Amino acid sequence: MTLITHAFDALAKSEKEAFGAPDHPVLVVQHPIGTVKVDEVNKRADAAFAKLVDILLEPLARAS
Amino acid sequence: MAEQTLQADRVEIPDDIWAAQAFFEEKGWSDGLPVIPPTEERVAQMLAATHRKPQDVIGAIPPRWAHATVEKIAINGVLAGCRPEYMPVLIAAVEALADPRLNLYALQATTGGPAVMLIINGPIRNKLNINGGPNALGEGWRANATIGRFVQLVKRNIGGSLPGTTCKATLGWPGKFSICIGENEEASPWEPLHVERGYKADQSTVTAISADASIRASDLDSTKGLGILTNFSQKMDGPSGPEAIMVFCPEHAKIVANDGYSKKDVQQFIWERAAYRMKDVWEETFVQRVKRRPDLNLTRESVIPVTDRPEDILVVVAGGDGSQSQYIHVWGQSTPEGGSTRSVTKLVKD
Repeated sequence: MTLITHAFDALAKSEKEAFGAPDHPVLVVQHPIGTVKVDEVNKRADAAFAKLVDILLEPLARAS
Repeated sequence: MAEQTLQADRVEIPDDIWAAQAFFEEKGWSDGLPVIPPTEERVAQMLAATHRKPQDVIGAIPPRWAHATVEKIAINGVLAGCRPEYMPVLIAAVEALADPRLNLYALQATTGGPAVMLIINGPIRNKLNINGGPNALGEGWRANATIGRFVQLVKRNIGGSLPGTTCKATLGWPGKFSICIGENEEASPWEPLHVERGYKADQSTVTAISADASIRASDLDSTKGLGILTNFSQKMDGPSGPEAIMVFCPEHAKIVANDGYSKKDVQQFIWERAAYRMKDVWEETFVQRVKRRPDLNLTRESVIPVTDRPEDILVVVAGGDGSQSQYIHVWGQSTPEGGSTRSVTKLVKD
């Protein structure tokens, strides 16, 4: 899977198409992360964590 | 010939030149400047200037990773306003763009917005009238202007790099339209870049390198090489990069060389002096630098050289009369693995 900020949404979509992987999972978090305080970055990471786990476990869930 | 072998879709272009430009803009095939319509006849003229077959694939161009065939190179050459005889240079340029070491994907995707600068060496400069003399980084020479622009159109039309979506440059800079120079080998006291990189003097090459906007390294005072190099190094203080470009004007180069400095001496001198001083940077910046380069064991007393190694500083000579050199910062990160982008040099073949 790939983790990006929403500013790179269109680029990620283009890449998925280019590589013939339209279903490649992408987790999008709020942009920017480069100029925000660490506490705020941690909050966003915590908020994204559950989705991240879901994405990573999704193949297992499908297999079972 | 071309009509049978070309694979590009045919489109009807309005006869009216303004309507034609509006058509190209609407299609997204223009960088904002008017383009030359790539008619079959014009594309065929370009293809006649190379031995390569139209469907030969030269490389894949990100972010779409589409194949840059010789035909597509010819089409974009016409769009950019290139003459047919530029074709061997255009093909070599695309070989450079597609080289993984350049990491064009990163150059296009970054918010940093660097250009891809071309430096041309060898006899092809004079054959094609590629300027390495007065105003070499400016306007006035068709070969420089259109070959540099060709790079931009290849990134857009083949690579699918579109500002705001797949090209994430926050601001970009005018060099993204076109930045292509010849090295002024005739006025250089040192061996030219391509010879330094293992090519023969009578061979021609294209070097592609990530480039941010330049800083003028003016020095009308120094009569000694030591003075010129000292002043030049001060222009290069600040954030480091995987490589750096010093464009010496001939007057500066002559003084420096006459005082006994070889290219290697220049690189070593600058590397020891052009510095990113950790004591001067903001606390959060320092913390991030420490994280990015754990291998350097940075402290507040550390001084990071402009590049990791002296030989990563490119020394080229260009320009006309005057005591005005320029420093071009190379976008990208120095990394323990050798940097996020590296310049590449390709042979121009007939």
